[in-house]
Amino acid sequence: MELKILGKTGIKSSPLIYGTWYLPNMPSPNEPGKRIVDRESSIRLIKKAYDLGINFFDTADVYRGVYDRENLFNDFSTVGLAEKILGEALNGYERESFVISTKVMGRVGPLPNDQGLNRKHIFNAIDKSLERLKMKYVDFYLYHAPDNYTDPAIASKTMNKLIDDGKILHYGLSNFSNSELKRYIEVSTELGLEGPVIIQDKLNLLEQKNLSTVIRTAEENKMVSMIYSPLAQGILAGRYIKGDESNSRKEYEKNFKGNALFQQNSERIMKLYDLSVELGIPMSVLSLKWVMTRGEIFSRLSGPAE
Amino acid sequence: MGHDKRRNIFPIIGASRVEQVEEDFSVLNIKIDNETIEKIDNIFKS
Repeated sequence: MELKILGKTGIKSSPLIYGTWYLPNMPSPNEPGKRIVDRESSIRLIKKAYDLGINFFDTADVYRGVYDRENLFNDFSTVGLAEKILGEALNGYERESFVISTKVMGRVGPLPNDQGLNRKHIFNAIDKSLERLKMKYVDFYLYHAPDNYTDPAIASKTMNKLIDDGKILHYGLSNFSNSELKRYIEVSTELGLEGPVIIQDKLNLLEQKNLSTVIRTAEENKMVSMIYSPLAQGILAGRYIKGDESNSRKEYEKNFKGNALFQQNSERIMKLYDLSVELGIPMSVLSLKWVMTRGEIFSRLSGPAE
Repeated sequence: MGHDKRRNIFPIIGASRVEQVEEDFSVLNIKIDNETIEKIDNIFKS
């Protein structure tokens, strides 16, 4: 499989990244109505992705494999579960054969400094992440979100220290505003530090706002953009109509009746569905291809990247 | 570098079933021309 170079880092990656925010899950045997991660299926799936040629895996300290909004800030028993499962799945493969990104910022425990981008937390958090992943280093360590209380200069120096210590190879930012991203780039330049090389933000056909803001800034600075939600949580994959007996437009719309994003864009989504049928290409492929070609659009507008 | 090419935009895919990964992965083998990409782009342009 043809690997691609991750921006200016020189690291080779599959064109798709496997994300662990959501893992195969099943009903909890002990708590009715609650879902838990299906560990065995998750490991099998990650290994399958690896076998298919995906060599870049994304996770975060706060990823639990299932989304449990109610207990997000008071039950820390499953914090780091996605990292643990990923570590278990990749254990045994050559470390040189895969790329890992993980993130820090979100609350991972009840103590005052169990969150944030302060040095105290980051130094503690990276060790915990490496322990759960059973790895000596991660390729990319990302601030998961902005922290208004920590000075960007301190946060940047902290990341540079982790690079020097060999615990991370590069760092980046996720879910920052365009002005915050620019500030971090400026600070690292002003201080002569190694700057961020990667961002992670949302982009899909239905949500294109970041294209003209953070992704543009990243492109201008030759940074990599990892894109989450490229299929708008399945809406742009048409997955919700699969398994439906009639596979009809009516059924499709019925399944999305309560989804605001779908409601606002139903006409466009149906046009994409029609195009998908006409071409005989899955909607997911059309949607992903659009995301993947955005970089080329920038290149065409601003001339060759290198 | 051989056939390797620099790229800056990398989608993250997740899955709850193997078939999902396989279908998404097929994006790498299916060629789609610029005209079709433009067609997709135009559908979603506000």
